[in-house]
Amino acid sequence: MNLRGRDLHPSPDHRGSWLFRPGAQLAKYSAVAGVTTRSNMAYLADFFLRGIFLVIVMFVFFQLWRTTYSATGEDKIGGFSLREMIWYLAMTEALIGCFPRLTVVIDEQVKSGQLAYYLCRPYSYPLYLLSTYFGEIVVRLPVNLLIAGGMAFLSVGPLPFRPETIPGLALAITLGFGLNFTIAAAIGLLAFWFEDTGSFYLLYSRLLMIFGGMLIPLDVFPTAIRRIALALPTNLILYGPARLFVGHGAGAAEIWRLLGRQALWLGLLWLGLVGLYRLGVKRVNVQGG
Amino acid sequence: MPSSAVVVRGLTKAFRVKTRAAGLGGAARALFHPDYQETLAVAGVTFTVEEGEALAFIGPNGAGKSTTIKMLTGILHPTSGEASVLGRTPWRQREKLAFDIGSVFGQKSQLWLHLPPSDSFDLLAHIYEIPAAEFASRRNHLVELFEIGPFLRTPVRKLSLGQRMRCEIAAALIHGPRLIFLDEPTIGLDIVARQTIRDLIRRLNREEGVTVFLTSHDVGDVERLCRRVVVVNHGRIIYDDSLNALKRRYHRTKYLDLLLDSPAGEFACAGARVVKAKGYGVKLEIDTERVRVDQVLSRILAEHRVLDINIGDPPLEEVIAEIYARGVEGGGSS
Repeated sequence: MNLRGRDLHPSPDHRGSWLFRPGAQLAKYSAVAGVTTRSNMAYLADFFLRGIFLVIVMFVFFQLWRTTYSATGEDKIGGFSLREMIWYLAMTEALIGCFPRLTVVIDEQVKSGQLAYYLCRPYSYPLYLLSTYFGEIVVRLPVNLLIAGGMAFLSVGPLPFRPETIPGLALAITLGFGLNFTIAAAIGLLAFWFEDTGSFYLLYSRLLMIFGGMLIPLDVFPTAIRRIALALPTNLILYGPARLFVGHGAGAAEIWRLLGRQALWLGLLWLGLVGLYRLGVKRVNVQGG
Repeated sequence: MPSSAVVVRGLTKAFRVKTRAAGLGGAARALFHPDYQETLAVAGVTFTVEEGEALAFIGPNGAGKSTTIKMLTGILHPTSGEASVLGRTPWRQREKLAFDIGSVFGQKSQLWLHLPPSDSFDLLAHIYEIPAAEFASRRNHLVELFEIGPFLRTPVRKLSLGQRMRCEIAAALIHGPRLIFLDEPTIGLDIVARQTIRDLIRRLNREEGVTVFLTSHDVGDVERLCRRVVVVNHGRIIYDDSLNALKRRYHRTKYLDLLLDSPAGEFACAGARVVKAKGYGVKLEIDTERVRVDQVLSRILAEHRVLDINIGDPPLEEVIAEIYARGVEGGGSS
């Protein structure tokens, strides 16, 4: 048998083409996601251990909000009942707990030169990263939903089930993950220009915490701040899906509006990410090693 | 007539490195007025590699070897110059070129640490879009060739470095590349594993016709695998010829091992330096630029009865070290 490719791949060569071989491209990125999922299974025990943190956070939130509701004497705060509030936070915490350490990974790949291996493969590096990102989330999400949901259930009981919102919710969660990917990956790629991307990520995570509705639904904020938060794409990552999950903005028109805004931002941010990558890759500085 | 796998003309890469003065003041100044220093990692190198050839691209640390490989694989964009690898410009057609080349960076891994090598192979089959039947037959061939069957389903983290490196090279070959870049493929391996890897690479080159572009600090790799050597230093090519010619050109030293019929004692010979004299044996070093070997031999044979003579070259390692040193002193051009 001959191992040389010359005899194995007669021209014209359409390998790597989305136009001529879309199935092969989809299979390629699915395989990347699949292998990431399998690799992350090795950390399953670790995920459950991290779940302990989620249990503590949920317990603290429950105590905090129960006290707040009883102190104000209100049934609803920002339109949320205590039960909705706790389930809302269960969802935001479950989602944010799934985010892979993308920025750190890219930063390390750029600085260590490991990027070299990724760049001499026949795939798009951003799409490769996206595949590994979702491959990791697939393992984490069920674990997190189970733990956070379990805590919410034990604290405030079940949430009314709305089967008609499930497809929209699943899509909104996926698009939300996609949005977080584009921002986190772009921050990671800043390693081409900056020595430390940690501070950029810190800024982003704080933005997500406050203006993304991770700690408090945006509906609770004063109007002016809420307007700013709603104008930013960060509200579409956690707040949008979690709000829909508890049945707020669950009408068909509102769901479509949410999905549309997510898709629009995702398109824009993806273009930005690809642009940043193209600029950055020309600056690859992997001397020596 | 073989065609060229790699053609490089005047390839240059300059890096801009931020510099700053020592101390807190220097750090503060660098924050507002950063100073940059330009480092010429590769300075206009020109060479070709024929298809099916095994080329050693060697040089001391920081000579520009890895930078050159990274330009030839399309990872780095050059500052100036041209290169064609298998008919493609690497930095413009990186993804297309990737289908035809393989690469192994000895200090980095392309295998998934927590998964068995077979999983990484399956993934690579998808990445390189290899049809299932073709992949199965090629994988079986590589498994047999590299004798990796017994640990194909063991997580990579549990493999020895030698086993892992065999899997790394097999992974780099899974898509049938016509050209393989090997950057320190035997680094950190024990002597047996090193030998195995060298034999495998040699077979790939000699029997399968895969073009090999090797960088290594291990002279054994170079001697075992390559007939041609390109030596780079300070980003410039200071030598480009066959390995044998390299030895001849840079050898001004010969070693003579003599076995005398009487104790060596205070052995001395004009024109030669005694390296070692013990029992009946003597080791001499001759500077062939000052005295010819036959002149020294005539003198010895006139004064002593010699039972055995062995004339040898210094180890290749010394020859290469000498070339590096000359380069540092200001020699060579590309």
